[in-house]
Amino acid sequence: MKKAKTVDIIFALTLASVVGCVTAEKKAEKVEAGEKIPFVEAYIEFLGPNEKWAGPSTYLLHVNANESRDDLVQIEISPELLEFEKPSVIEPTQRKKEKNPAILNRVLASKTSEKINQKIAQKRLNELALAMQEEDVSFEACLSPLKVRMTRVDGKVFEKEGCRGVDGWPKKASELSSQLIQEKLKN
Amino acid sequence: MRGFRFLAVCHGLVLLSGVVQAAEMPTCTSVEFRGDGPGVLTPAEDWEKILVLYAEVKRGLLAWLEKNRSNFSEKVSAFIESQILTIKLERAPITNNPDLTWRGIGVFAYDGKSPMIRLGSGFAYLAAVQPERAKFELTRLMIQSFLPCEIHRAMGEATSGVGVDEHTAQVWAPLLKCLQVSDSQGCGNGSYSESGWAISSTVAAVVSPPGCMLPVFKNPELARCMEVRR
Repeated sequence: MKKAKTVDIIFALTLASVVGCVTAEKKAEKVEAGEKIPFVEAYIEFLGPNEKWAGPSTYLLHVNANESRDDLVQIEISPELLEFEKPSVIEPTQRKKEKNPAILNRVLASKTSEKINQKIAQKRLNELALAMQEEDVSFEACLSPLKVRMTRVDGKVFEKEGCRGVDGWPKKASELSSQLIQEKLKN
Repeated sequence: MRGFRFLAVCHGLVLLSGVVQAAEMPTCTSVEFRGDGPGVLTPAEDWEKILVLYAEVKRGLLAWLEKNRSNFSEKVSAFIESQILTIKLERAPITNNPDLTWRGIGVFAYDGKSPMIRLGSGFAYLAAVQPERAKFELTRLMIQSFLPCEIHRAMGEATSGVGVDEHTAQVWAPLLKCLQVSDSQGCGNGSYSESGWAISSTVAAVVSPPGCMLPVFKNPELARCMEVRR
């Protein structure tokens, strides 16, 4: 079941990438920065290296905040975080003792503690989309690429590639990913 | 327990030197553990273990540099040494890349102009249960601070070959050719680097053997990139 879902997500992303070849060329005229039409869906992909290097695996987050029937936000993570279970030799309680909120970014801490409903998800997606549209972040010879593909409620698409570890919109994509993972783990 | 001594020579660069049990060596696979999220600091006890690994990796990389210093120009070897000596570790939870608090090994980044490794929260678990592999992964991340394109970026060398000064490019060219790795984008803006993974993985396997064989070296054709001496 889980595998089928994973395959579905990968297929969807592949399809999205193929379609993206056509739409990406038009993105400048289709999606203007500052437009008020909300973004409702995103694929955030953290790409791992070729398997032959045995590096960190690719993982993909998909968020859909376009369900009109209720206020739920659909969040999918592939592979599932449960596949990265903690080793049993370490007691979780032992680790939880040592919290140090003082070193945390307060904004991040407040964002991660809120319940993500459709409205909040769309707000976060719009913030990320705006950053992606406005910031031209440079990177070279990246070993940890990041791809984000976002869809507006009217079906128009915006996508961009970046590099993990670089400041600017990739950091915002990382923050959103962390919030989505936390939300997913709550459910 | 038949042992093989691997010695790979790449333009005079000593890549692999050590006795491994090739027959029994398992294949390395991607490994990472789930972290505790953005609210949890890596416990002091775990952090101390990581710092021990970090010190060992630094010593290992400096020793590797000494063996290979003559292959690099004076300017480049000084840069590599500086990167090894100054690179810092950021202790989880990582606020700049908070997705790392949930999974991932870590990423190489810059804190201003200082090289830095942002470690994933799950790295402490890896260090606890697979210290050899954790050391390899940390080494691979630290090597990213002096890959050819980093040298190019930091030192502003003229672009040629794989995008770095010709001398540095020539040091790595035989290995990359043998591994059938080429970066068509060079070090251009918005480029991705397969050669970065090739170089960092191969050198890391020398400095901090992971206790398993990287899949790339399971391929008989690519395994010939290394000269095998009994």
